[in-house]
Amino acid sequence: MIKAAIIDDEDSGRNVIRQYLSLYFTDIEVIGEASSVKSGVKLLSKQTPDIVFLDIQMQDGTGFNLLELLPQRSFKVIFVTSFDQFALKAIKYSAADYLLKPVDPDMFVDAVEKVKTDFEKPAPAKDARIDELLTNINSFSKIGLPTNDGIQFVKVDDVVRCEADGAYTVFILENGQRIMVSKSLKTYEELFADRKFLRVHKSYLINTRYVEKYINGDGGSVVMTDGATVEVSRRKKDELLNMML
Amino acid sequence: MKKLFLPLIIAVILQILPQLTFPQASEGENFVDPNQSRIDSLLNAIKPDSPDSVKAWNYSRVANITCDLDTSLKYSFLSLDYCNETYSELDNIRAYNYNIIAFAYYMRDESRKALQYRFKSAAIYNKVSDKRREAATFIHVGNCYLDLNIKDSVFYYYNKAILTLIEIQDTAFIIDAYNNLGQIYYSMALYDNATENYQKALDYSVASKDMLNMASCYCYLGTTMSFQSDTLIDLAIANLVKSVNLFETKGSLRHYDLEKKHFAYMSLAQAYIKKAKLTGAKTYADSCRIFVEKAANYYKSVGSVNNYLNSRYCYVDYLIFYKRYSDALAELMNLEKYMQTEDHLVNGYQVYYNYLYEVYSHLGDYKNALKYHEKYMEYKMAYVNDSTLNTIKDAEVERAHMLDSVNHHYETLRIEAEHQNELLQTKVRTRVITIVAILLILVGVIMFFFYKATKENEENKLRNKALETERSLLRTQMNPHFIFNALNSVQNYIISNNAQEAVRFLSKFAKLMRMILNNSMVQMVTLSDELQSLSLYLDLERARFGNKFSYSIDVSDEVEEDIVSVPPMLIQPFIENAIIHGLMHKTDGEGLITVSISENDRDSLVCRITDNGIGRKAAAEVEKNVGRKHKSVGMQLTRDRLRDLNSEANAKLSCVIDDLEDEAGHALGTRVTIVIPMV
Repeated sequence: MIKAAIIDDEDSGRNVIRQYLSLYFTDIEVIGEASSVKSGVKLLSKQTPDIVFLDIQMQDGTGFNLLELLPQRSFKVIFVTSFDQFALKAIKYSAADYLLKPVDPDMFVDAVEKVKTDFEKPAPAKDARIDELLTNINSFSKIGLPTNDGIQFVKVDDVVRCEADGAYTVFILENGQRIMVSKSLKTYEELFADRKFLRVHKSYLINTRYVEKYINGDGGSVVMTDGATVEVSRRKKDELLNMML
Repeated sequence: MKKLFLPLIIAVILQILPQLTFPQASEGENFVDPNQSRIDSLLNAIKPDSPDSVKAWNYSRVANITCDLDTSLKYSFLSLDYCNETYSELDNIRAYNYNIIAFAYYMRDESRKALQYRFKSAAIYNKVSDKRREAATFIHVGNCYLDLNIKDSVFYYYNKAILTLIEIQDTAFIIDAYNNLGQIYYSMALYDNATENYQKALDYSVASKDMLNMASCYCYLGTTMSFQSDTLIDLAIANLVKSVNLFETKGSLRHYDLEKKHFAYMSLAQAYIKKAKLTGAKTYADSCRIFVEKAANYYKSVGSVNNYLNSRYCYVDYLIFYKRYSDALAELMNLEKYMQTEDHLVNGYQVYYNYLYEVYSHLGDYKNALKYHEKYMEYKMAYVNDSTLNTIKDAEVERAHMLDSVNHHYETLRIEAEHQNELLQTKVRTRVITIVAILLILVGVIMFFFYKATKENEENKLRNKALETERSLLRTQMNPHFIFNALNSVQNYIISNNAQEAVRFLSKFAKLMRMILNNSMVQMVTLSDELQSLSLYLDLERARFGNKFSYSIDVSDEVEEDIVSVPPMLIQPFIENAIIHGLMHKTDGEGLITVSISENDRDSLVCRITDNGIGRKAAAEVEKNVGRKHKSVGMQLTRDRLRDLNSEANAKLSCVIDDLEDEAGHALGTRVTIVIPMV
């Protein structure tokens, strides 16, 4: 039996998760619930759940505060949030698991299934993504990339460019390393929107700080510092040139 | 304008010793060494069982190529740990390490520590009889002493190095060393000693028939002489002409040759204008003009701000010579923008303000002349305070001296200004009155236009702001009918105990609301985002109307959905219209909405919304029978938005509604065509 805990300061929030769990996952048992950061810390220091459903905004603090108070944690976290752009950005950067309220049942099943498969993999007891999330929360300097072998954290500033490969994205780093990631290019276009990255082409997202030169043409192309030539879409030419000035 | 070219020459000498390049190594965790991969491969090559010499050599290489001073020190000391045994190979590595350590300390302004290590390496080179490296180390010792301002030692070690070099007859190195020494004297304004050393460098260049070094030496010699004394100006010009000729005939197109050639052009121009001022002869001024042009163009093209400014100042001198003061002023005003560049320090301002002061005095504008003289003194003092060659005491003495001279200048200028005023008052009083009157009228006219312009400007700003607020409100607007009807549907699902459907419907509704909220914060969204929200909307409406209709969204291949942007929520109201007025009243067969997007001539998107509903005419009839005077909010909002978007330049959105009929005139549906220009 997999053990779960639910921490949310609203009754309805906890209720929905509990109902969904009993509806879709007969192998998961809710061993405890809490309605604040304080009572949550108390619960989690007594009990050892495998999964914690954690609300971000609570009356006496945030879900992040709660995690900071539990440095020895060994559980997996699924964040649950309504409309907190900042927290959501931090969660996406660390590639942590999350659900949006109101919770979509399909999304719920997907997220819990994913965590369950993580249990089957031989992984360290402590979730590195949460550590990264907590240290990174104000800087957004690192991004967690979900790969076949787990999450790999890279510095955003080391990313030279990203290429679309079907529904996947290939990251090319400054040291020449290539990382295949199971998320779309659009995901990263949105995450890096304020980081001097530009989607110059339907298949390419580039870090403009690594542009060596621009070659004129209909849309033209850019040569990156790693020597790669990247085609630029005609409609992105002006935006690119503006950004480079 | 006394510019040091010392770093250039020192760099040449450094090449035979380990040389570290330190960019502004930003410290802290974000710093990544640009040579990290090379460092890693060197460190990986060290195995626990590697011989000490390999460890010593690899660590030493790491210390040399890293860009971080701490890392460099760490590895050179580590390398020294493996240099304990005494045989010649390790001796060399040890000396190499000492030099790296010394350089790191030198960079950190810890020249005393640097000296200790330079002496250690010099001792080793002496032991292994490597005269060349020993001499190079002595030059570094000299440079450390220069940093510590112990001049006697500077010259002692330079001479020692030069003697060694003469012994081993390394001519190229000797020339560099003499030029370097000349440069040091030059920077101390000891011009006689400077020319003496340049002359020696020149002798060696002539002896070795090294044309380019000869050209450089003539250039340094000429530059120094032209500053040294007015009596040497002819000799200075002669040397600089020789230098220029040599560079022009023998110089390559490589950047360092070009740099030196243009430095010679600039020096020659400066010498010519000095000669012109001394003699009043126009031919010299005209010669100056030719060379100053060449130098300025070059410095502009390579982006060398300081040298560019110096050559333009020379041109200002030329203009002053021809008494073209307003042109000189205009030229100075043009140069102002270069003042803000980072590498332009206090002494740059000092020279600049001095020129402004001079030109304003010539123009008789004493108020500005005073102002810029004040600024000139201010920067001059700042420069003196910054200068490391002067002790604080020296600076204070100089400061007091300058304050005196400032006061003196003020006094003379004030007296001159008073004198001018008297002249004006007595001789041209009537003219003053006329001028004042004209000025008053002019000011009045200018004020009037200024007032009008600001008022218009403010009005424009307000109007734009109102427009933007309105627009963002419009973007947020989702037809309230839709929102409440959707909530009603949820209620219905709950009452009919259809929890599953309620949950699914609600999730989609929330997702759509989230997208609309996000989109309302921006003016444009990608087409793919817009189509995603449309499809969510259509799913919800479909569920709400019991799957009475189906829909398809087709995007033709040439459209790059993720790249093209459109105003958010522009298409949705037309779809809402098609459902409510076209499909809801349809009684025969299944309803169908097709949204198709294609590109038109690569500069606009064409969006067609086709429904197979009852048509506009029948819809109007139904509405009339029901007695409902429903005015679509969405359509009104969209019309307003189209109007607003079109009030911007270049944006010409258009919207055409066609009634589809068969040959017999029966309604087949409605087609809306929206053309959205793409930027």
